[in-house]
Amino acid sequence: MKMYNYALAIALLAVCGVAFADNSGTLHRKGKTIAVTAVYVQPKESKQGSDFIVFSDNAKAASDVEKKANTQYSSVDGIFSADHIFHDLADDGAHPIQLSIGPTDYDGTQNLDLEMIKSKGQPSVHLDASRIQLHIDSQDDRRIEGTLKYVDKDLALDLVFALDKGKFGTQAAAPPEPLRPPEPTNSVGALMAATGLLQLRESQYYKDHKTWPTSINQPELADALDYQPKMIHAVTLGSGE
Amino acid sequence: MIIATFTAEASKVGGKSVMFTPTVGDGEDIKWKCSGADVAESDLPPDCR
Repeated sequence: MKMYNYALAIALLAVCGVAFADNSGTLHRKGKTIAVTAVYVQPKESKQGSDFIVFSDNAKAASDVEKKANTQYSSVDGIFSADHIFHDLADDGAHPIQLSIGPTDYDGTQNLDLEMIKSKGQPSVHLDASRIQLHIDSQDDRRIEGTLKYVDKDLALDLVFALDKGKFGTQAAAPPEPLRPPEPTNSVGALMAATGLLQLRESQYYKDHKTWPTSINQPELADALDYQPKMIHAVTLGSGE
Repeated sequence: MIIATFTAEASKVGGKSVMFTPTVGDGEDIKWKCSGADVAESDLPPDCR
């Protein structure tokens, strides 16, 4: 069980790294992991309205859109249209994501929608709402903070947002570097550190899908190799169980 | 199966590999076993020995 303790320690450190971040997260798609930033929140206009949060996987596009908004966009009471920002981000080379947080139904279900423009010039697509995992840490009329997770066979999102409503978040201070576990000094520690979290992720994948993952690039394994000891050259998946 | 390969510079285990293989027991209890044919037992995690 020592191996799992070590893996859990690494997983905890990875989670801490995310938790420290204000408006950053990751998008895993087509075998690549890309940093994503929460850009803007358009607050709901009434109790039955929706908050819209826009994310960008392209920091330059986010910066450009912010400049354009401040000089060229029209606004209502100083509030810009999230949809306008969403589409402008795509025009500027990003693959933007827009989360709509609607009112809660009588049965407690939160109305959520996640929209993404996957390719420049293409229409947006609405992702599977049943896969959205939204956790609001705090919210009032002025600010919203929380996390958003989404995983399907094509992409995985793991995002953090902490934004003042109606304001851009691109000027937020850079998050601190994630904590790192101590470098193992022997082969036993190196093996545990290199594969412990991957074993946990693979085990969870099996329980969810009743089959084993076939590629290290699958979204469910995205964070499993974030930390690799210097003593390890490579970690790969072999055939079979 | 997971295969971890040490760097060539790693002391005593340079360039060698260790395989981790899962087995699914009753109630989806998953256990991982490991083996490294060319790695000394003392350089392997306790479950591999």
